Amino acid sequence: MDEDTELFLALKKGDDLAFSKLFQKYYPKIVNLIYRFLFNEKKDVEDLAQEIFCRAYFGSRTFSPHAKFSTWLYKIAVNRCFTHYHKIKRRKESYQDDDKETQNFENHPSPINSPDTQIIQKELHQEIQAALDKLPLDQKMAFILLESAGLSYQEIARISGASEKAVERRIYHARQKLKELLTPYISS
Amino acid sequence: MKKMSCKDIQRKLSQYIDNRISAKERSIIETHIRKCVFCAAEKEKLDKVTTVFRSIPEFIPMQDSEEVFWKKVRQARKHRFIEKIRSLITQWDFMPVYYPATAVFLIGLVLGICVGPVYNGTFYKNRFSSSNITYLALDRMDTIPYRSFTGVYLSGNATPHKLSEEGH
Repeated sequence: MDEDTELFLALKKGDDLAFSKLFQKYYPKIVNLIYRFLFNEKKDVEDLAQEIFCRAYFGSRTFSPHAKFSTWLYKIAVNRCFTHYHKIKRRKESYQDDDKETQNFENHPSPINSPDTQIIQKELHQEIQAALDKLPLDQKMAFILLESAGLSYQEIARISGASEKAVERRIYHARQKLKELLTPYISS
Repeated sequence: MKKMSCKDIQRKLSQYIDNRISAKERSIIETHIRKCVFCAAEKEKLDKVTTVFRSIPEFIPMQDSEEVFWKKVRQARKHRFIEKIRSLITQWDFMPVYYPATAVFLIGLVLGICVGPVYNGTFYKNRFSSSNITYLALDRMDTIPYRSFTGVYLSGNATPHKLSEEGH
């Protein structure tokens, strides 16, 4: 049993301080996972992260001591991200709202010709995000969990409820698609 | 191990980047990349995808995020307590159906066990089973012995004058 799981089990006995330690350790990681997954919904990032931790806090009774805390927490986060993503999608469809931030990178001026480095950087980030948004959800999440959260294939497989081979395939396809979509930025 | 083509190498590149291949495969890929310009370029592109993705700046959470969290927890606790009470009250709707039914059954069971034998006479029989005298006396008071086994004179025909007649 790892240290984090022990701390979380202490919460079952009413030790809020133990959960505070876990919060400090995992909150930035969860926030960044949500931020990369829902880039265009910056205002929702912290609210979602808070909700995920609330769920973890009150769901301590359902936590199995044989499970790993980080995997369990990421699983809650991933599920919550998917739910929120579908909610936004439905909302956008119903209002037919054209979000400017999700425009294709073809509509933007070429970053190479832009004089300001900061603008280039900002545009580049938007292009990366636009490319990520074009990936299927499972591929996008697998790639973010690998590259942003730094999780292993085994952990990603447990979180997403898929086999390690499936995760391998998802990451392979995600890389291939991102390579195609970001060609103007990576070929130079 | 059979020789790997460029296609095979490029398929394995993603796993190569993540260190998901055996040492033998790794050495084959590395040797191939040194010789093949196309596969080297492909690997470089995949590396750049990772670099570009990691260049997105981190989201810096609010300073008071933990305070906000504990505040939410306290609110949720309060809300949960109220909800629990509310659910108990709403469950009360079903109580008139089950609780009195159970109570009636239990009272009936207890009464059945205690009072039931009185009606078929077994109560007295059991109580005074050592002798049928008292049981019979209850039916026919005139034949009752002058003195019950409790040592108390009974009323009715069991009078002391019978004592002398029967010679006790």
